Amino acid sequence: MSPILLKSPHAAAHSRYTLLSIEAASAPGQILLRLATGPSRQQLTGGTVYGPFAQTETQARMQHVLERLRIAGYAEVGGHEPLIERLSSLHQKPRALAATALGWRQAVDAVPALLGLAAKNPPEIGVIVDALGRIGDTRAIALLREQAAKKLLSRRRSGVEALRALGDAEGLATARAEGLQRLPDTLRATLIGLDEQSTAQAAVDALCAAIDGIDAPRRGLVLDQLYEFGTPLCVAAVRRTTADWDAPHRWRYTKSIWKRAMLRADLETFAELALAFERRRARTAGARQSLKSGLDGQSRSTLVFGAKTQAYVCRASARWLRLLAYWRRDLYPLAAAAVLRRYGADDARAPRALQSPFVYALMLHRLLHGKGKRQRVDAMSRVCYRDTAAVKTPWLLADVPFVDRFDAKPAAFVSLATGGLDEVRAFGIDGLMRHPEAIATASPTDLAALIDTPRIAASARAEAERRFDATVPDLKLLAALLDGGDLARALAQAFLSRSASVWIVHAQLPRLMRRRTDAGRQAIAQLTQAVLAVLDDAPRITVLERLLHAMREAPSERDEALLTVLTAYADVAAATLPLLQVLALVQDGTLTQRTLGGALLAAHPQSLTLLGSARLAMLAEDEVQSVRGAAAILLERALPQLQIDPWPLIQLAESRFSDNGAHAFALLQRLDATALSLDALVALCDSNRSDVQAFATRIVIARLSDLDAPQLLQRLIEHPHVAMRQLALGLLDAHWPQGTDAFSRLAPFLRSSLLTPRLARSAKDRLFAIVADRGASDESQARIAIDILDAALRTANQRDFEAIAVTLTRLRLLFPTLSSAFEAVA
Amino acid sequence: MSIEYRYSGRSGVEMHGADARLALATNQLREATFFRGTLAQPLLARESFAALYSVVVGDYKYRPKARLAYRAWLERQDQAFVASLGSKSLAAKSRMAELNARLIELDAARAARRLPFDAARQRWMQYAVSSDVELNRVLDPVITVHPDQLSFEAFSRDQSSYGRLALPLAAFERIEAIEYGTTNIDFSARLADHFDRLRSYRATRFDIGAGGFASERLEPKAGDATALEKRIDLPEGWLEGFLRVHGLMSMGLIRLRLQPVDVLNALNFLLTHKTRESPRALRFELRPGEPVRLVLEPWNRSIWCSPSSVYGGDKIATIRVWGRERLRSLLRVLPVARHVDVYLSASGLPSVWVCALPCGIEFTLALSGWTDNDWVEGEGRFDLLTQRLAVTAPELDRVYTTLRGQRWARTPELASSLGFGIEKTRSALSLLAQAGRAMIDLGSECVRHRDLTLQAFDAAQALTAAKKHEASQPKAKAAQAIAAAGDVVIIARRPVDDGYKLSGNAADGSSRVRPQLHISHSGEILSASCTCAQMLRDGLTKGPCPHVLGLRLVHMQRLGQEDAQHG
Repeated sequence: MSPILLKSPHAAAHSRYTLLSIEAASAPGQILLRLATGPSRQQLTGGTVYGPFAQTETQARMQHVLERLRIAGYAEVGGHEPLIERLSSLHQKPRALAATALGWRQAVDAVPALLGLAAKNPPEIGVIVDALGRIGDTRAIALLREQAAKKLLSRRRSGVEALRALGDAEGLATARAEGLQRLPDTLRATLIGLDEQSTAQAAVDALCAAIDGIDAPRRGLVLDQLYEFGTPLCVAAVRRTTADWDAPHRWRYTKSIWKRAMLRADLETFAELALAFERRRARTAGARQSLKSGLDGQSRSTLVFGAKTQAYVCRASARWLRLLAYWRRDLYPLAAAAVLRRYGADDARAPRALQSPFVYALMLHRLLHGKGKRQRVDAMSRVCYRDTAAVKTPWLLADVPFVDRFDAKPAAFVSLATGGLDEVRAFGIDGLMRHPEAIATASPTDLAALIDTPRIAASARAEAERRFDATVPDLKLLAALLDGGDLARALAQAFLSRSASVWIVHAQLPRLMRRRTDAGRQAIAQLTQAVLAVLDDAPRITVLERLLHAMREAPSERDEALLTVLTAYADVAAATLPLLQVLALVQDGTLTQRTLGGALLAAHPQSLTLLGSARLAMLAEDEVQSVRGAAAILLERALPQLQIDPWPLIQLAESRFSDNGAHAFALLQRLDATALSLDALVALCDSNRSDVQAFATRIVIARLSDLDAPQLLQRLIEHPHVAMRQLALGLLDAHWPQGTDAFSRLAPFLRSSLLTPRLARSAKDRLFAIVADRGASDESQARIAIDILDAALRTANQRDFEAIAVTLTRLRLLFPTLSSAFEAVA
Repeated sequence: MSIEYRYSGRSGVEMHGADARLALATNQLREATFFRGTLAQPLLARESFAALYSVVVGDYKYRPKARLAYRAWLERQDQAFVASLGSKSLAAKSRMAELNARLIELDAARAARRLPFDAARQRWMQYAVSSDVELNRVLDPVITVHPDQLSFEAFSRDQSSYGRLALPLAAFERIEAIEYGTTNIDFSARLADHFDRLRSYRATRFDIGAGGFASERLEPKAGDATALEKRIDLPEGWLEGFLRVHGLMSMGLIRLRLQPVDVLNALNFLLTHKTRESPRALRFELRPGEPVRLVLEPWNRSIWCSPSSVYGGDKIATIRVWGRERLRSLLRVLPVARHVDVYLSASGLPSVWVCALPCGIEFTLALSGWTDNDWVEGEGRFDLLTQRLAVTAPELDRVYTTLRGQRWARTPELASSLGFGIEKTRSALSLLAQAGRAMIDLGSECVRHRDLTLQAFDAAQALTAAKKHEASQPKAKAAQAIAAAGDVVIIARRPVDDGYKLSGNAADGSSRVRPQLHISHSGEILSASCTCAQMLRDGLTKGPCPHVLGLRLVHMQRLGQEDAQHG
């Protein structure tokens, strides 16, 4: 029973106020009545204690004392009568404020007055319905059901949330049936097909996918409707679909969800949204859009989530927390913890003048600094330091208001001790030092975080030790510890070592291995490998099959640990799968699956025989490095076959992947160069890679005597690269056949080479020598030579021009009947 | 505007001993267009495609460096300096110096430790950027299969160069399958590497079809798997870029026939000389009856061109062309070219370079006035030079249907077959070019059918779009207004050998100006001048002024009346 404050205006000054309260007596089942007096409510004495009385007499004893006090002229302070009286005001605002106050006070005696007011259907009907919901009196059910059936969102919201507060299953069922009709068909069908009491990942994913499939303008309304249902699945899906919450078509529904969260005391959703509002504040100027009003149906150009709205919602969030502190003391520490633990260093902004780094974090200010004098909230709802001295004054635990509420609910300290801000953690740790028993209420995730928290690490570790049973290891605890900090992970490793024989064969092993953090995945992968190393073959194969099955059938983004283990035991794992299934992994799998497929492919006993070198070359072009690596290993094994047909390697040398090209080239260099056919050599020369060309050039020069040189040259002269053209020019003189036909075949190459920029001088000199030499042979070849040279006669390069002029002059002298564009003038 | 591409295969070249197959995958979202033949001259095709690829990936626009890292470093230095001002104690300063030294040490150690990671990240970034450029910036060429040739058109990445490769059917030994139409082909850096492996000693099959090199199938099938999808957001007015190219080509241009070595001389010099001084133009010195002299500024290096380049005009002229670096796209094609036809209009205006290769292969490179003045977003509005007579929707539809049936046509022949006047036919063709339904082939001097977009042609819509387009052009609107108000008067209209010389008088606000126009028989503007402020300042570099356009409009109306009088 709450303490009751009474006041007598006629009493002596020192006893104007008196407080009647109850406290437990030392003997069990008995109570004491304490009556304190004083000149003001802040200056009460320790008071006089009466009793002990049996607990069963509490009500009667209280009534007795109250009656005596009333006779003495005392009346209850804050009684409901003045507020109930204010409900009859002619003005809307006092009526609404009175209704709200009565609601928070859970004033059952005000219900008839509230219902009477509601019957007149005043504009503040929503506030009245909210108040009736908070009071929780069943007399209001008829009104609440009527409101829950309204079309107007604000009325419906108040009605449904009030029904929920009253626990009216029938009313809620009716509202739900109507709500389902408002959902799009596809979403309704999806929702009906899911278990709404479950928050399993797959179910939430399915619902979120269905929500994403709805047009953006309609999505807000749908989310609000889902949140109205209030089932765990719907709430989880709504919390996850937070993108674009302040978009013009979404904002009114986001606000609605935020209001619902406050009405039903959904602390997590409230904290999520209220922090989102603060974080977005002053980072956006809002968006202007023509929107239809919910009140009069008119479309107006409206500024959505503008500066005023931002300040309003931030203030309202902080105000709600303060009201909780006064009227819902049991909820306040939990709500505060839900909000505070979400703050992080990222929420700080570059401070200006006396502004706090957390200038827009009103809730942080109220919850953590509210009792201190260092900070204040200015007229624009910004958190500022009072003066320059306050900037340097450190935060103190004494700055935290309502500590007694936290002490009454020490479980809140657990999540505070794992918060993102130093001050929040310090407050949480301090609380846990006072209430170490609260650690026992920590979830596995919180416990893992506490193990890495100074001052309470030992207690947390002891709690973890207490919970862990090596014969039946708690996989959730192990998973949380693996995802925790260094100390938690070390403890997890110790636990895992102690219970290796159990978890290694556990059906949930793949789940345990899919940890959130890289370090966690590495740790479990190392341990699994170590344990597998000492296992017998049969259980080892079973474990690997289980991991393989998980990776194939239910791939996840956190499969690295599974991949590490399976890759380490690729030879064993590969033997359990047919090659076709390995290839299916390589071709159709996710990135991780393809990587695994590559490792299995390299280790599979049938890969080389069944795939063949050509198929291997194709796999070597795969985008996944592991697949390319596997193909490279297999190609290396296939070297004897490649000696006979090196085409796959030659093509692979041109790969767009540098590692592939380099490996193929290295293998090519290991082939017996003397055994390469002319076609293979030409193919090497045809490469676009300069190192392959250089390699081919060396072989060509070394083997020129035993090759069909004209045939080789016929092919080389078609190469577009300058280096190979220069090689061809170097060989032409000695190896190109004589005669007009042969020279005419060569003419296009010589002409284009002559016109190719940046051909080396030595190569050009050879070119001129060839043209001059062949041209001098006979008149028909001279004709061809003159045509070649005429094409470049007007070159601006002096050396070229001189060489051309000299050659043309010689040819004209040798064959005077021939004409040229060049005329030498004596 | 965005263009979507969907390919069920990738383009590429595959070789098996003595055979090769060059397969170009076509856009599945376009009409079924395919071709299969055997190349007679693979080497010529190789060099031409290399030039086209060079155009497609060309980006010569100047983009100043962002210098983000430098700016961040500068800011840190400033902060450190300001922080050091606040600490007056010597001990604090020495401690700060000590800590800074330690910080530098640690930074160096960290940099050394992260070296492999940074190098790998750099490689990945390069891969990602090149991949992103290929997927999001490189516009795949438009290919049109005509009865007489295959035409590949493309814009460069900076949209300042337009390349067109015309492969006549004579360039093929054998043709096995052909389906006329227009589509896109998958064109990547890898394909460019593949082109380089084409050889004449391999029988090279040339496939343009749905499956690319992974499939023998040419025709698309519903439900084909997708090997590559691209969606490229084009700047507003990209379609107009095509029109502007063809608008330019419909102008009366000076044609000069150069030899490949003439162009190579200029390019060789540019490859070995760099400058930051202005002017950096390629200057054409034209004297009647004399070969062209190319001058490379600012060195004033003169290159006398071959005798074949004799200038046939009757006045000395000097024309400057900027953005000469873009001519590098011709480097692969020049050594195998027979000659290069250069089409010029005036200084600062676009130029067109047509390389003629053996077998009738032609490679056209159209360059905008300068690199930053691209075809798409630049200020040069050459489409205004193709102002036209009124054409009704049924007339436009007839011209389109006939052209589509014939696939290509010369304007006089088309006009006579339709029973329209030449000017009206020309106007209709200009409208079709604007709608992306026709293209001008400078080499063959004809107009070809080419549906640039996928939508079916609607003459009424095309006319509406053209009207909107004109309404959005203040110069055209002003020209029409002054012509309609009778504020443009032809003072003199003198027939000359190559057309008409017109002198007029037009209202320019409260004063009057004097536009002068030299126009060919076929309506092409050969030269223009005006005493208005715009033409005195910019010449034709930003397109003609409203007065010149108005004078042309009045002249065209008179020509139309004469057309009608002569039946």
